[in-house]
Amino acid sequence: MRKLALVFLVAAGATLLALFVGRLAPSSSSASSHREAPLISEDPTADNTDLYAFRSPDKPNTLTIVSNWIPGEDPAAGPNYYTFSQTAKYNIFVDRNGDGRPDLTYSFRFKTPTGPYFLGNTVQNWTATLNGKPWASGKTPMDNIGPRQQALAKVRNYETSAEATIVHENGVAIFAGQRDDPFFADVGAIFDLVAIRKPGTTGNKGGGRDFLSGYNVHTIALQIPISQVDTPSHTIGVWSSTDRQDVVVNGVVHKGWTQVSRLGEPLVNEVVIPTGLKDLWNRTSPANDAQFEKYYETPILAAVLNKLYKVGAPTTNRSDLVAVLGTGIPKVTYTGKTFADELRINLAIPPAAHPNRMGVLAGDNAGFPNGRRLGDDVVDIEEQAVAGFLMGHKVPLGDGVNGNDVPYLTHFPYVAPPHQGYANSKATTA
Amino acid sequence: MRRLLVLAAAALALAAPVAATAHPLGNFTINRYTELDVQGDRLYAVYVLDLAEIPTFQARAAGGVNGAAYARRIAAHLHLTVGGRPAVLRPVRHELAFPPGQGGLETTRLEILLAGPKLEGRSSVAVRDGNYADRIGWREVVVRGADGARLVRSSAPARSISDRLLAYPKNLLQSPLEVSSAQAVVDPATAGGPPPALISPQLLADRVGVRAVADPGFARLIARSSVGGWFLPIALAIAFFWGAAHALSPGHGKSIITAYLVGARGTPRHALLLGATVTATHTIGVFALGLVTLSLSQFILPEELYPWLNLVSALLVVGVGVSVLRWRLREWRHARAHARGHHHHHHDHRDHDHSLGARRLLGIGISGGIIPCPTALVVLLAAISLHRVGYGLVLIVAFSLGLAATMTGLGLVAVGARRVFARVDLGGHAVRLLPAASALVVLALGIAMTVRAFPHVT
Amino acid sequence: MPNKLLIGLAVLLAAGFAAFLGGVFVEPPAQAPSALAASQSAEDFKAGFALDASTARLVESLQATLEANPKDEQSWALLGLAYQQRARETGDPSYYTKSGGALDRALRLDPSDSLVYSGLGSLALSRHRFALALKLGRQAHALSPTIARNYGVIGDAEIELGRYRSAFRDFDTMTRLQPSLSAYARVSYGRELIGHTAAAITAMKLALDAATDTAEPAAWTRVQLGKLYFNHGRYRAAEREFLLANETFPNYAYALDALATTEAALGRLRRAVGYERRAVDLIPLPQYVATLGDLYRVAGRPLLARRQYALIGAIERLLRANGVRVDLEIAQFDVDHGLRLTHALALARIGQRQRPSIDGDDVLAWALTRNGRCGAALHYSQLALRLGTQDAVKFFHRGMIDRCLGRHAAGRAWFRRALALNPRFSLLWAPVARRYAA
Repeated sequence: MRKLALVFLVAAGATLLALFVGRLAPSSSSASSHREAPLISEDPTADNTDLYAFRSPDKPNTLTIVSNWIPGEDPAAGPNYYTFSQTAKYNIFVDRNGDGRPDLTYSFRFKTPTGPYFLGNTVQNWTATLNGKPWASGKTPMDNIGPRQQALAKVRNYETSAEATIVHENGVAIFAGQRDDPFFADVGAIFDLVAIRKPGTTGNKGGGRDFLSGYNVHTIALQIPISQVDTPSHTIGVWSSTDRQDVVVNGVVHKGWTQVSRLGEPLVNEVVIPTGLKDLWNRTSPANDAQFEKYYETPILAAVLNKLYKVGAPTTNRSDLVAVLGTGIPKVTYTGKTFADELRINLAIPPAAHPNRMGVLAGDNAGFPNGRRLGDDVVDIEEQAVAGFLMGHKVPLGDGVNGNDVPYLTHFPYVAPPHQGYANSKATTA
Repeated sequence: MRRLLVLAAAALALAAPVAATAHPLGNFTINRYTELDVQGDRLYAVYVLDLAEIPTFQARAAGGVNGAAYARRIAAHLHLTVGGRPAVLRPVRHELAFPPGQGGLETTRLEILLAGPKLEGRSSVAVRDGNYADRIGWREVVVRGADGARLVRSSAPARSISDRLLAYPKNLLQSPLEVSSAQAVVDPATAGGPPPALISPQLLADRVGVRAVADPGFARLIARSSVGGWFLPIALAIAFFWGAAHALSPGHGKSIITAYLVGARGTPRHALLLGATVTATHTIGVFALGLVTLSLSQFILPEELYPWLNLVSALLVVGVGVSVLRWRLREWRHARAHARGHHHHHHDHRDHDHSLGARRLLGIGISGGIIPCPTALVVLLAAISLHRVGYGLVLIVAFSLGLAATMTGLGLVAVGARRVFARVDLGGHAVRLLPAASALVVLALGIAMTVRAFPHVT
Repeated sequence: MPNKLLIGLAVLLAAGFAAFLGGVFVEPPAQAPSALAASQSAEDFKAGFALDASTARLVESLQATLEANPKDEQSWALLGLAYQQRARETGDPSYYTKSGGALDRALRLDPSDSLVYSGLGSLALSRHRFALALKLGRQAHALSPTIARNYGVIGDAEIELGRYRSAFRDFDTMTRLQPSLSAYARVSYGRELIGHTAAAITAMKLALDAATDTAEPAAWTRVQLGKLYFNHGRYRAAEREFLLANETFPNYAYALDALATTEAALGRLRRAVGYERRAVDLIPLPQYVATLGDLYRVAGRPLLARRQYALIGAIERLLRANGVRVDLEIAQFDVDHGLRLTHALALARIGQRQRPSIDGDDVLAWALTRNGRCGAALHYSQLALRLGTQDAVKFFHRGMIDRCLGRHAAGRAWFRRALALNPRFSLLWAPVARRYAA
């Protein structure tokens, strides 16, 4: 009898083993009465999309900073039109001494006056502080929805009325509102495992599709006299962020601010930081970026490029990337040994008479990665940099999209006017 | 060798469980399929409406599904234009069926053949299905040409990816289709062709029969309004028949019985004994569960007990399998020891064999009958609530007898097959291994049943 | 070899055979590390470009990616999550099945991706398997402690399991890590549960502001805000929010049902029936069907009401057959309508065991009351009200218990409290409360 019991035990054990390895059969179901709040991670109105910093070509004694939010604004989307979030804080920071901490903080808050929704009320009042003290205020232009709406608002020329909202405060020109998305990239090809469209096997000869063509963004642009930001070494770092209010269930209604998004160098969050750490990255300030340095030293993208195209990119000890993206190019944009994700710019280098979209890699020192102009092709530049350009290993990679779908303005705010909803143009071939 | 394989295949087929599947797209979907057929020079349309369980229930409650009325209404909202001008689609024929679905409910399948206009020369056709426009469900449009008609271009495919709503694709990378319109340019032939065929009722029954879960015929017996004298024997016969038919559906350990009898040198008496055990166990099981349901209904739901019953039954099978295995192994060693001429004592295998055999038979019989068919339980509870307890009991006994009859029949077949085997000389090893192999199969099936049963208990 | 060992071996062999039969083997991860890294990188690109807020388009692009590269684990995970969002938007439950399939695929390719466990956790929540959801949420958290989403899954499960203090802590952490619509909505719920209505409304407005450009979540948030108003008798404010929700995301069953209840509260029964019928047509959830039945009853159409009540039985069978646990909802319906009270009590007990939240406690209390067991009911009603929630239905149940126990004055006080908070808290029972409060 004991033997039987033992055998039974073994059988039970084997069964249990098989069980733990098994799974419940799937079944269909429908949303039910327990409360199912969404668990999405998109927060478009807080999402930093791009940051630019360059000496203004038409006013070389000023620095222009352009910061964009809200990716992929479909001009024809309605009845909910895009506006800045009224409960978020939008910040632009300037670090003048290379310690990773801001020395100048420009913070913006927006409020939509109550009004009829169906007219798409997109004019917002904004107030700005500088280092915490009240600084400036103004209005955004309305979103570019269509001629009828403009007629209702008695607007004859959209761009004229938009630029009329530019505020000047203490020598600084300020613009906030909807603009064309100046970024250009063949995002579809990049989705497809860094596939690069023909012609040309490594794609920097055009033939790509600008996926952001036809979309708008929301912009805050500042044109600051260089004298207000300059330093003895003439190198400064710039970054941008968004904060949302922190609240608790049982306690004070408004506890404080938490950073939910930030941006310094382009594409770092997308390319360098692993997915599992993105949340952490988004709420970290540049002063604490040393924890991410190892992901720059061993960039995953280099391994991917090697696997796909056998370009022979060095995959370890990438101190060149650490420098370019984290501390500054030696003798050009170096701000100090603190590793921090900031867009660094050397204010002593004058704007180029004939800008080259490949920036420093093509010998144009007024372009990315020295600051970033609207027309700099950061996708191509970063792909080539990761492939080893700065270590002398030059591979002509690219996504095949070399410019924006519409030309930029030659004056502040430089970013092109937003596409009109009525005309509804989107994602055409570059 | 081939016979062994066939038997094994049969055993495995019987063992493969068929899960009660929901309507594949969700219980409240209304799924629509529109097919434009250009047969020669004539335009036809085939429309398929697949109502899941809930819409069927609602339609029934609101007065039933009348094929002709539905066909007319559907034709009215199926908008066809030829050459830019509206054209009429006339319902010609329809096939209506109610394939069983989940939870004892039925679904609805309505196929309609509609006749459209004759086409002269190259024509542009467009179709839009406006039926049930805001209801969730699969929407598919297909445009085909046949008998000499040619499609110059078409926005819709020429073949259904769901086989006219008979087999929805399970592709994880395919969202449910939401196409309700199509445009095409077609070159008709000069002569007409035959209209497209609808599905035959027989084919429909065969194809969706695998979704059958309940024994509706049996369950309806208890609710018959009049149970007069001459009807009673007929009712018993029907119950017997349903029990027999039910035994053929998955479950009740048919494969286990087969495997056991093949391996245990079963005789027809053993098969009959198994049958009797199953009958008794099943009847007792239904009554016991009924009592539990009624008295402990405040605390326990019958549905909660089923997973436990499954588990107990499975463990019983495992126990039997292990016991047989032990015995076989001992026998095998014994035989080897004999062959080496090692020992001399008497065996009382025969007696040993019989007493153990009886116990094992009982184990298998119990495991086969212990799970009361839900239908039988429903009948019992209904009988009680309708105050027809005697009638209900008698029906259940007849049902259990039918169940047992099938099992006994199968057992006899297994015994017969074994006898056939015994005559064929498969060679020493195979013959000696067969009993052990059968024990292994019983054990394996028992473990598989246990594994299946466990998650539902937690 | 000893007998035991042979038998053991035979058993293991049989187990292996059985496992094969039962298909319970887990396929080992099939990817080489570098390919994983490649897809990871592609994902990193993707994550940065939230081009189109439309879930349908995201689903399409992920499907295309996976057709080309079926071993892209990250895409399977994202697709699983996207399918869940599609299920919310369309109400089509087959998306849940697809979500489960996609997440299972992702799990086989990479058993250590926190996002997959998180997705499986929210799937378990949809099926009311709260203990399982808690387990999965914790697994997700263990794999990636810095992701805010996991706290949401864990917190949601804890709420339904009655572990409120833990849940509130988790929601606080979630907000501290990443304030967003998801976090704000949960903080709002927490505040509502402890009876801080104004603060709950503030938090829900924060959620709404963070919801711009995401249609279904924005609509959902508006409906929640509207329900906060409704539960406090502010019917016009509620109606406004529900109408806006319907504008934002047309044909949203959740909003239509809420509108129906509000129209009924405002005395417009025919409109209410129209809205509820549309909701039921879209997604026949038991609570929608029950409301429609009650509306018909109150509107004097008993035959139509009975049809809806009969439908609930069918829906219950189907949901159960699909593995969704609806005991609490069915118990509540049966008890409210005086059907099969003993059976309903058994269901309520089971439901409360699976869901020991204040809602489970309250349904059980009500079931006990209607079965005459008012002493036992009192205990559960006290549990149900222990957080200080301002809930007219729970107040009403408590009033009935006190009345049953002979404490008429106390009962009347509870009835008055319920009616003061929300005069039309229930189609069936508010009139009763009014009668007994006098």
